Amino acid sequence: MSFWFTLKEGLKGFQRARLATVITVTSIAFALLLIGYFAVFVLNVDALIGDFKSRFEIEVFLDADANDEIGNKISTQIKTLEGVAAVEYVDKAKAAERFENEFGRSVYDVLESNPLPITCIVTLKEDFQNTQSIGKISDKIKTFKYVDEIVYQGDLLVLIDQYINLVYLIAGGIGLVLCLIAFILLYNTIRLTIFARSDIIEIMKLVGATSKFIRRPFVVEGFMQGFLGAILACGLLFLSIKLIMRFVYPYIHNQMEPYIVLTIFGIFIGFLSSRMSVSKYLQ
Amino acid sequence: MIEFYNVNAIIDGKDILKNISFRLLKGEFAYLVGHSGAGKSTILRLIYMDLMPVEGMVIVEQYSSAKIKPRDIPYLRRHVGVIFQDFKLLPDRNVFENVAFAMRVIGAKSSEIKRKVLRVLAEVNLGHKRNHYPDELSGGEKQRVAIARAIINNPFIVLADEPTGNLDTVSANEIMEILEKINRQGTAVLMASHNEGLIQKYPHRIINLKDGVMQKI
Repeated sequence: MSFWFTLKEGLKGFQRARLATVITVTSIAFALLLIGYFAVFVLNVDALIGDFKSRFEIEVFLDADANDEIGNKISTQIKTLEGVAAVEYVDKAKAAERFENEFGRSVYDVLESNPLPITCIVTLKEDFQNTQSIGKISDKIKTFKYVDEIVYQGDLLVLIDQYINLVYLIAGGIGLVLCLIAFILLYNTIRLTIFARSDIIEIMKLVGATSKFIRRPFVVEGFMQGFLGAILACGLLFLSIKLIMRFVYPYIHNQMEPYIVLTIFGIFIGFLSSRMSVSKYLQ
Repeated sequence: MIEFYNVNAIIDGKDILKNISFRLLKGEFAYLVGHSGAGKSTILRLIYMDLMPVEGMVIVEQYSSAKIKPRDIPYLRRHVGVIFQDFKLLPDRNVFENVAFAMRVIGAKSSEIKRKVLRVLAEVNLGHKRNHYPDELSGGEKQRVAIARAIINNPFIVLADEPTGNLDTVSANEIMEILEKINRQGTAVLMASHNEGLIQKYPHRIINLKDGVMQKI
């Protein structure tokens, strides 16, 4: 009985204070939309970094006197190292082919014999795509006999590793501030709607309703407002990103995660802020 | 049943009641009289524990102001009916729903609510207006709805804070007749009033207050 009463009262709250409900839902939607844009931006930066890292390679050049048998053996040895995802074995002939593809001339046009060394191109697992792990793996490879030189694009990786934590920290901080702003905004908007309905609270108290009972319809209302605000925010976010992709920048990663997070967060702040506002009012 | 022991009350730093002691017996009808600001409403608030004494003690049935926990106050209020000069009705609900509201908040069943509300509305002669909204009612009718809401949960006392203050003489007499009837059925009534005419017409014990102090009559 009290469940249905709570639900009915919560939904009636929408009807009773239509304007306040519209203002609250819109406030939630715009606060969440801001968080949504920020989340999409951070996810795209993260995806770009991930993409760069996934294409990262270590080139291992062997001595000129290393033959295919030795090359294959070293390639297998590298494969067994922790953190190595794959090893592409490039023999002398394939290296010459690559040379021709890159420079447009055969190596034999310039020289009498093929001086290009056997090469192992090593790609790393995601967790090992950082300067520290690369250094360790490269040090291990260096100890192998017949390994002449190891080359990788370390500068950019060092730069990313150096600043990525700071970037994520700043992003986390901004995200937290945005969430806090959304919460304070909603908390105050819901407080206003509660003040506007002080008559019903007063009567509930007068006829012996417990604080828990009084709180429930407002929490249901806050929950619904949060949900509707989140749905509106998701719709606006989706539409605006589609428009940006169509007219400005088509390479945005438009993933599901921000939408799911926004919906859960919207419901959560709706629930929490209404609960806190009404509890404070009842005190 | 209701006992005040040397009660002092302060509101916004002002002494409102000073050393008030009295006892109200089961089924008694009493008036609280005194000019505005004498402390009549404060006594009523102390009974339904909307306010706590700074000194002394108020006992309402098994509840004592000295011992009651905030979470128990709603349960005390379920045994106390309160009516006000300004009715305090919910404007967006009809007469039936306004009265039923007092039962819904304590988790009563729908069938019980319907049966009891219709019976109580009949008692206050408002059965025919159960689907009307407060703004479609006269002042007297609004007060009768408020009385129906106050008595729906069978309280042992009805506290009436100037219930006839906004009403004409005919409506005021109707309200008094209803309160008399409720009292005859065994419910105590404590009514704050200015209206000397009504007090003389419906004579009962008088608790006289002047500047927060009880006066001997």
